[in-house]
Amino acid sequence: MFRKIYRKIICRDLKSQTDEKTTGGTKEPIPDSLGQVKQRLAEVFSCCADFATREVESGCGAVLLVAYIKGLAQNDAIDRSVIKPLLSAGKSGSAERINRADAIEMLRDHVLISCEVEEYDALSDIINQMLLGKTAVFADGSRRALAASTTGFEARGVEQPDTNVVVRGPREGFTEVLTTNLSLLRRKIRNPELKFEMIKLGSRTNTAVCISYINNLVNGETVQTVRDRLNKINMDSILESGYIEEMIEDAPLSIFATVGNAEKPDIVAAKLLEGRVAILCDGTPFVLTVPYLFIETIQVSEDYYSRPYYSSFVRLLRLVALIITTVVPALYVALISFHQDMLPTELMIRIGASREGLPFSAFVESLMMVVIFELLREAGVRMPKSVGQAVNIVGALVIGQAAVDAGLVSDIMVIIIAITAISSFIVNPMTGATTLVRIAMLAAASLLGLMGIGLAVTAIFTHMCSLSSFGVPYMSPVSPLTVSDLKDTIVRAPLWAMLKRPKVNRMQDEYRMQSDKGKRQP
Amino acid sequence: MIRKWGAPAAVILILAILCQGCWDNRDITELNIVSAVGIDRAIGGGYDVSAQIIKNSVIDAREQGSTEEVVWTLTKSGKTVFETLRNMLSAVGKRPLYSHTEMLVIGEDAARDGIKGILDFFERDHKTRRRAYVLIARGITAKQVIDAKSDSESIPIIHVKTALETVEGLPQKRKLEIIELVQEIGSAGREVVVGVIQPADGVGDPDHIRDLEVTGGAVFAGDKLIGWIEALDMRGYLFAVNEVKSGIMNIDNPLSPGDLVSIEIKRAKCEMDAEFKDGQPVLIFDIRVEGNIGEQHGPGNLTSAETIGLMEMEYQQAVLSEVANIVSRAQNDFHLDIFGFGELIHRKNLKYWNSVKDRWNSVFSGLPVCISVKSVIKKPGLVRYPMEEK
Repeated sequence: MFRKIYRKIICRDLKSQTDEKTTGGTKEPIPDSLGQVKQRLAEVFSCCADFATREVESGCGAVLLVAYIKGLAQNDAIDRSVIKPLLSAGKSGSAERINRADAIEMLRDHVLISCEVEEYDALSDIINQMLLGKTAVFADGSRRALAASTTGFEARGVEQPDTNVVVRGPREGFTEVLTTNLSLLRRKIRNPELKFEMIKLGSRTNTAVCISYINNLVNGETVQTVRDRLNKINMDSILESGYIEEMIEDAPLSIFATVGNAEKPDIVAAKLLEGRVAILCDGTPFVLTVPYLFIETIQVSEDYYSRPYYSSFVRLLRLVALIITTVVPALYVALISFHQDMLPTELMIRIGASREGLPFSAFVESLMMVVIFELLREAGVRMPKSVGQAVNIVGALVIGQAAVDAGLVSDIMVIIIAITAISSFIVNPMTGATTLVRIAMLAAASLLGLMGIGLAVTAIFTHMCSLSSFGVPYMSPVSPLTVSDLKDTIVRAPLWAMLKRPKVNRMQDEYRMQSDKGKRQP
Repeated sequence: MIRKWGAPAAVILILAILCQGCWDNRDITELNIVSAVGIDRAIGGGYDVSAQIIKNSVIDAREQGSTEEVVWTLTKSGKTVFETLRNMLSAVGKRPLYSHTEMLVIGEDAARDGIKGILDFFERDHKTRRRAYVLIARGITAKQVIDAKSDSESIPIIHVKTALETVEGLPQKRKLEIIELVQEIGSAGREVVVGVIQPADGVGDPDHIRDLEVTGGAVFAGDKLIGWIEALDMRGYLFAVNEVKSGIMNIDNPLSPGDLVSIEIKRAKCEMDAEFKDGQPVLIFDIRVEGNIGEQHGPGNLTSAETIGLMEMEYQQAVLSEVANIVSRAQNDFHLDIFGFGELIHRKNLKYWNSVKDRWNSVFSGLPVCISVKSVIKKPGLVRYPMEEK
């Protein structure tokens, strides 16, 4: 059904797009006269205030053009590794050898002091390199140009992220800079088998995207699927990994995410070591991981860092929270408007007393409160921090006291919403889905009571079981059941007992430990 | 689309139609919770039905110091119970909700005429509570019980209910739910004994629950009330039907005649059996009781093996005489098998049962009964000797 809707949505757009296909062909070469180069660059970078050039006459008389983007390239680095060597080139003994023909080779091999100097003949290539922060060096009379790495720009440092918060565990989080993120991952897994495949996405933004996996662990099919799907992305801009997520999802119309994200290198490293594929995107600290299963929503990195008993207990708690946050308001409505006989008498009388004189039906009342809570939550997130305090006070007063005193809402309803709200924060990755499910359940309960809840639960479970993420069923290892993988679901078995990696990811190497060698006998 | 999703959609729709429970959405604020129902025989035939209705609005007010009554009582008449309950709608604005009825009180007169019709409604209707307790009002009308005020509970019938639930400590009454009563009445080879609520001694016209007592039993022949078991005989009956959990039994102090020792009854267990001799059954009560010494009057160390033995004998005799007493009343006064031997014989010897089932109660009255009691006294309590005078 989703597939059909999906097709309908996109087919119209696709039709119009197929006509205008970008004209490929040969790339424009670099002109051999420095004047022409200068002119072409000025055309390309017209009205670009951050574009800068400098003409240098080296000690031996060769005329060179240095071009870079201000802010992307570091001035220090340009001075030290490009300008200074060029200027002093003639003073060294090899000065006579610089002539027009092999100026570029000469500069590359003997003059430029930069760890990365590459040669290009196409103008567009050298421009792309400049947009990465490199400094281009053109020589008069040469059809080739050099790009020296001088990249350096202002960026946020490695900080503790707001999501994936832990009490015990590493605090560093990814940043907006792809190379930093790669280094953070590499520092977790110092192994050449950890691969970073770079591709460029977005015809306008030229965003660097990196597919990361552990080569001798990962299932090759999964990587190939990721590559294929990424290559199919035909969008002009990729500003955040969310763009990619939406384009490569298995079920783009489902309310459940089938692509995971994390903001911390230890989490991504752990997922890579379980045979998953990570997709890093330049410009965002959120790294995507696939395949993404339902069970990962209740797994938190700290589970593996603290003792297994408590971890298992907390896992269970999260599952309970997930159930509470979706079902409790619906259950309350169903019980008090359909199945009054199912409540204990004392509770029934209590609820009856608290609802006496309320103007709204239970459904309207709870829907109202659910919506008010969502408003407060959204306001709390969006508000500038200094005003956020005010939202809290207003929210607490309005929801908590005033609504009850005014006789608009029963005090039991406030408790129900409070429990629901707190539980919804516990299972972070599901917040979006649970909110929608909660409202759907509420509607079902107000129409058919427990029967409606039953139907809604059936429908949602059916849908969840039908999902899959990059070839792995969304609900595995519970459905389909993989008994050995249950060690890391609701209970978190001791690490020494988890000899094998999860089977569902179909990895090349199942064993975490060398059979008996690493196994601890308790 | 239809071919693929038609079948699941049909299943869901069919389930939705077949599985529906109470699907009418009715908010609590539109309901009146009825905490108890009392049924009396009306003077010109038919029933007077009284309902104790909770006033939701008052519960919160009372917490702030209001002394207004939490419940009010409504009585209506009609030809049948169901009709009468509907007749109540002439006087109440919100629909009464019977799902939380704690107690069904049946007046003596109505009980004498038979309760099958009354129970039929509570069994048949889907909105009643089958696990409500049943009591027979003796010497007063059910309406008076429903009307009586409580000093301890804001909802008076909760007071009666808790008094009934103390049967575990004071085995003098019978806790019976509507559904159990229906089963016992329907069971061949067993006559039913229902708990009783009556005015306490010397109280003429009670209007408070403190003036009422939940003690004794009402004996039914089929569905008709025919007699009473008094509070003290009730324990013998409960011993026989294995419903004694605890209680106090007074026996003589073996070391000081004339003084009493109270034994706390523990772990009473009765197994009924029927043995056939020459084609005739002998009814057997095989009772085991344990006990702890709870209170001693008079001097002496009761903890020696000898005195324990003596007390066990007295204890045994006391239980035996209580059971024998109720058996003789059942056989000689009521001529009713209130213990359920008929059910037992039905299971054990179908042939014999088929030959006597039509006149079972009279056969039962003439059958020999064998009661055996085995008593053990286990714990003397925290002290061995009574206090010594200086």
